[in-house]
Amino acid sequence: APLPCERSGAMDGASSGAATSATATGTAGDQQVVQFQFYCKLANTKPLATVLGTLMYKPKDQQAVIVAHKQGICFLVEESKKFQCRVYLPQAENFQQYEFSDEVQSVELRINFSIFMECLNIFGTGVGQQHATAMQMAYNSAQSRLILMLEDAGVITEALIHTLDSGLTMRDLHVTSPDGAPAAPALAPALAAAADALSSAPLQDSMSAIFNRHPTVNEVIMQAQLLREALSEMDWSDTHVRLLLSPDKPYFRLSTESVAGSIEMEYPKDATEVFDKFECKQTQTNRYSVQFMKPALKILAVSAKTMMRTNTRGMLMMQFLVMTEEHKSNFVDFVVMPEEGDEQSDDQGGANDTPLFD
Amino acid sequence: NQSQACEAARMRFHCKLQNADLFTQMCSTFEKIAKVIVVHLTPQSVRFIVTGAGVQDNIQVFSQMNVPAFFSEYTVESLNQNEVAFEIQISLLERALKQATTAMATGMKLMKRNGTPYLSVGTEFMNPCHQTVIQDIQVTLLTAGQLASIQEPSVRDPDVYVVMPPLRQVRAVIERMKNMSETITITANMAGELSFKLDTSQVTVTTTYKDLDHPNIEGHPPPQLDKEKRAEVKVSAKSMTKFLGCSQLQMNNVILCIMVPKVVVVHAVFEEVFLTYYLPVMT
Repeated sequence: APLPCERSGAMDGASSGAATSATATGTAGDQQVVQFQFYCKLANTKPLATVLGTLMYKPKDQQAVIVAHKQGICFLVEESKKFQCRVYLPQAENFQQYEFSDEVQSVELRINFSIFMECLNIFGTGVGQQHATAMQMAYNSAQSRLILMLEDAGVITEALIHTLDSGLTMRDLHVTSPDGAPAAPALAPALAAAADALSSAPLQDSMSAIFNRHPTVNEVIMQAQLLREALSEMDWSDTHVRLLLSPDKPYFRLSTESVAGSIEMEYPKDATEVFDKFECKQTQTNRYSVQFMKPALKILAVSAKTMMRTNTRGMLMMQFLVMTEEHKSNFVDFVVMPEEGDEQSDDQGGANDTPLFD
Repeated sequence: NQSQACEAARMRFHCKLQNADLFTQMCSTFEKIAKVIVVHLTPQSVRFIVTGAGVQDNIQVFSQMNVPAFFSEYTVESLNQNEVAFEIQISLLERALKQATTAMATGMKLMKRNGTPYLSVGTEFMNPCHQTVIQDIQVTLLTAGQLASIQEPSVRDPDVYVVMPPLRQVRAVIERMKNMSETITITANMAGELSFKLDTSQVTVTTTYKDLDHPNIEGHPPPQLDKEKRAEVKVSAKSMTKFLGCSQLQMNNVILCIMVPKVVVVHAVFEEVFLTYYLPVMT
């Protein structure tokens, strides 16, 4: 049955929700009846703006793909097969009201994400904000537009964002790892179930699909704040961050190298205050572009825990459990390709370093 | 030339600054509008003026600060009815005044060195010891003729006039809109409604304010509420941002007037400060 309908300009009919009321409203002669594929309502945009803000890594004109279905919405940003980041928003966790059309399994749309964030934050992001900004969002595929309505103390902003063709080149219907287990790990069981459902929908899974095709080599689950501290110590003027994961010393090491010198941060595997899980089968050192590691730093600032996984290709997958101020938890994942180069020689170098402390 | 030299010779200006906070805020408000401004001194007031010449978007701003509210021991003398005008790089004046807000005393005067006129700003401190900092800012004196040619635009009665919502809130919205479009359409009616809209190939965004007041304009009959009386103009997002730079002044009576198709005027009054912005309308 069709979703809530749009009347001339505003979303007046939309909040009534159910299919039955939609048919009842769609009659008046001079009003246009349009169907939405999905509709959601939110009393306070701040937690959503915080978690989505972590996806911004370009100064302007950044694009994102939005995938929506019954379980919720996923925002995805990708940089030509080098880097991909996804924010999963299970509908029960995030929205006061959520409606999804019965007529399709899922919808995908591409938008100018920079513009979307400007609209989401139209009333400002300052801490001095006294009122919560409320939001309604709906997608109208027939008119190729995403509608955002934001309200702050009686002032209303309506944004009609033109949607682009999602331009998918590779689609995977089911995302699972080689051993058949669901792709989303159990960072938090309830959340994983929701994420599973989202990830099994048709998603632009090019990067995650590639990741899952190669066996996992190393996996750790650690406290997000400690990873953040380690990453913050790095020299961000360098072009790469090196990550070493190993079953042997030094177990876990992040490092950068520049003309000024090198910086290394290590954590031992048996530090239970750092690692919830430490399963490393093989010593691996990989370099990742600093440009793509920067979003990780932003996400870590609002995360509780992080899972890091590397596969035989040296790709790094990170999954974050994001906590926002209203104790909403959301799920962000992140895949980055390694920079080609000197992994093997690095390994040897690391093994030959005499430790400062034994 | 001779007459200019003669004029300059008889010019005198010196004063002590009493309201350093507000004066500095005025400087920083104008710094957001233009690099060089005209300072017009009369016995009663100090006016900061942006004439629009050579300014992007041709925004014009006329302002007035009444002497008793800002200065003491204020003297201005000249052959031109005791009025003096000069061009100055406003950021330099703002910088010179940075410490004035915590200084014991601040004074300003016009002086000449090697034939070049300067505005000399002196600030006196007691901590940690008695010290005086003097900063000289080069200025360009205007002749009487040049000053006379600076005229505030004469505009007809507005089609629509409305009291603006709190400028800080409007500023937040316009800052975002400016990132999405170069032009913004302002629509207002005489029934308390004001909206800002942008329309590009990628997005259309409209922000609407309701229940705004319409002021009583002196010498005119009280405003009649009329939804049909509306006006719509397009202005550059940049000039809106320049106007909203005054939001730091915490004015609560800012009136937007639209005279289609010429110009948008915003009158703002705050304590002893009067500001009028003339925003050019785009076609």
